[in-house]
Amino acid sequence: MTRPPRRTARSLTTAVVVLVAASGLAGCGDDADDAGATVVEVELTDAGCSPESLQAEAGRIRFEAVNNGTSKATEVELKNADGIILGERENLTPGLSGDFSLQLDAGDYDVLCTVPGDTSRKPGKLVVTGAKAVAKPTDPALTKAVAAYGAYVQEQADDLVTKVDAFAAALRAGDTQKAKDLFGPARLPYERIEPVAEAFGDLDPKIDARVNDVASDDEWTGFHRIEQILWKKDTTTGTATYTKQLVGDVRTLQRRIEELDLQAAQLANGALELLNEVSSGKITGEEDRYSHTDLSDFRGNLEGAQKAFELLKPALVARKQQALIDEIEPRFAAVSTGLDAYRRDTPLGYALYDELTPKDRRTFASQVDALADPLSLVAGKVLQ
Amino acid sequence: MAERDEQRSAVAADAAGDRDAPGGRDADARRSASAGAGGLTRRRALLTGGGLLGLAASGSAGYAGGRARADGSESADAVPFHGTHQAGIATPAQDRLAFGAFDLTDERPEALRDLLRAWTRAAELLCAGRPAGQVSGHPERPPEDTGEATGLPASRLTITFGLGPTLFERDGEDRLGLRDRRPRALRPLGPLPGEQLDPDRTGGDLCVQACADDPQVAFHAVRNLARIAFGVAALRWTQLGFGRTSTTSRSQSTPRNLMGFKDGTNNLRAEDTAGMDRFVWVGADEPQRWMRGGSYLVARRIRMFLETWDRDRLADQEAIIGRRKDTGAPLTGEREFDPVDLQLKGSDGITVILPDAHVRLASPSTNDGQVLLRRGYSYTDGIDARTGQLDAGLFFIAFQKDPERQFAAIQRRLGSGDALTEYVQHTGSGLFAVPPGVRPGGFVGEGLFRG
Repeated sequence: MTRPPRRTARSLTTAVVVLVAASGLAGCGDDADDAGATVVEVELTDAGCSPESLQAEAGRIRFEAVNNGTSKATEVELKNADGIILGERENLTPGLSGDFSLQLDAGDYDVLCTVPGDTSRKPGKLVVTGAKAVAKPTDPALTKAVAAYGAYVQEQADDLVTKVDAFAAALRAGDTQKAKDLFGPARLPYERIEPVAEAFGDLDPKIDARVNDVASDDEWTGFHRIEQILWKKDTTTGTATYTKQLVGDVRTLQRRIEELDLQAAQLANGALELLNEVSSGKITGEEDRYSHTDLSDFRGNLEGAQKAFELLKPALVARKQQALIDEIEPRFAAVSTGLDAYRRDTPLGYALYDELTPKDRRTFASQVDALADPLSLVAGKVLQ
Repeated sequence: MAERDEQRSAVAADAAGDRDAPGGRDADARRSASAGAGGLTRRRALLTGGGLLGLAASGSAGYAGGRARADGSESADAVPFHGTHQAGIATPAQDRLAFGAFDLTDERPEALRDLLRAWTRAAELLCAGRPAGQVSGHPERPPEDTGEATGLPASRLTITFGLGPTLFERDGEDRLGLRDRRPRALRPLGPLPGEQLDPDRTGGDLCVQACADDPQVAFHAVRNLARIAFGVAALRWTQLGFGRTSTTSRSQSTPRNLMGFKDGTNNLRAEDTAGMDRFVWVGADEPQRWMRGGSYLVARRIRMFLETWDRDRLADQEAIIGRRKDTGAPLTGEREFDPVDLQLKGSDGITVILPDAHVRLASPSTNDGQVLLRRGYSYTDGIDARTGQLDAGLFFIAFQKDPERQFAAIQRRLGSGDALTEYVQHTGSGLFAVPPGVRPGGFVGEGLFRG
């Protein structure tokens, strides 16, 4: 896994971050003072909010609500179009006022002045004008890439469930050798799509945390926990709880992936993150420190990155980025060829990490860096 | 070996300066230098025995004169060594660091006491901008001071001494009979998330933090203190730092770390004496009286994966930190010192400062109000031989009154949830009790040996 168990919210909200930055710029313009937040005033009345219709510029907005004497409205809520409460003030009994601040993009919002539990009131409207939200890519090349990548991710998630089930069966049967043989192969589909799994926050750490990723030992579950028992203690005893959880967690992942709304940025950035995984974890042998199956994970990361890149190629071509493609492709090939030399006719399919010579380790590291560097430009190019 | 000894005596002869060096005497010097163990024993005797008297004498001249230099003139940029607290904590952070952790090689408490006394005398001189002993003296003896700081100003040198937990107990053993003197909060840091500690860069019975505006002055201090320690304590690991990454005074502007971000914007400031008393200085509630007025130093060698960081997109870098890269302003504000608004939500209902942003997880409000005085430095140690990638990052140093409740609690939160963890790894660690300051004539940690 990546060092932070959570790549979570950030990956999913990439677009949001861009939005915030953009609106921030628009918002600050000539008044750089924080006190320059737009103030929106609303009064709680028997009928609800007054006025019913509000307007503001995008950016930082302070919402001030006052109750001058009604008992029929004692709280105010601001919701976005998805119905998510962005800010609220409760217990505004007669004579009280309250405020909250937000950073809002252009769009329509609901303002609800009501009493607790009453959702029947007709909400007031807040219209925020200014910087427009970045539209989702409508480019057919990107749409197609996203759809194809979605199918790939699903396929890998399905494969993961199958392989983890086989791994779990060996563990439950107490067959230590077979479990060891199936460990690396079971991880492979996960390693291909890891950045997507990381987008689900708590799942990646549960499935793939290493001992030094968790705050305390009893939080440590997943592949590497089982790996430690298998290789350090050479037994399947003590794996039952972790096996059960792993089987459940990969199913949860599979289900969540079905519902996932992938973004083009996730393809490009995911490819980069996969190579960063190699760069900081596999090349140093830290990922699979007990089993030394790192080179198989390495292959998984590389394949996942290559898949995303291949799917984005038409979009790059459409944006006249052939030169970037020409720079990246031979670098993918160089890493792949180097890794081929370590293929073995074993259940894992690859040599153990111990066999990697220091010279090859250095070579891999520099090749991966050389590849990742131009790859980091892809997202900016396809989204521009 | 013989060749190195010859070189050493040649250097010594040069440093001795204007004396003529006829062949016979040179050969004599060579002979005594290559006497090996015998030669070392002599120097040690000189430094801890007879030499000490010399140091003590010149030392007292040192503080009588205030800020005297080797050449007798005033060194205007000297930081007083004596005081209620050791210098190098509340002192406005200097630009350079040399840090040394030592293992005790002589486990007699009196040997430790004598070492701390000798170190104190030497530190008094060094911080005043003077050499630790004679730079050029008897032609047949190696100079007492190694000489490379001669002619350089004090450069605001501070030397801060610390005592590691293993001094009081190691593997359950009361090595020096000091176990019942161990201060309450000096407990080894347990395993923490986000670390991959190298034993050769971790721990130590003693530490010396030397900070100065000139790297040669800082290194000179550690080198000479290590020399004085021969036979009693040996260097376990060292670390050089080349750029301060924290501001410890309101008079300083916020520097940037190697990730290119301003670091330590909301650091505790020495001017905030109430905050220093609350979070940094050990108070009267510490049962070990000798530790009152002291503090605890936590050092962490934090490797940054700069190659991967550098190819992360700007928006993500800023989301990870929670601040703008250019201005240092929080994502919820416009200027560096604008308040960090952790509650402010954006249009999607997610806080503008994301749940895993560094500035959120490191902030006092996320950590039961706990604050540290950070005093770290950027470092680079060439490349990682395994991968060829830069071995560079932050040599994090923080002072606090309770490492478990402050550093360790914050690190548990950061190491398991911080978005930044993907790009950093703790590779070295040290925890040291920093005794209170020294009055003229006293020595660091003397209360430890009293009554």
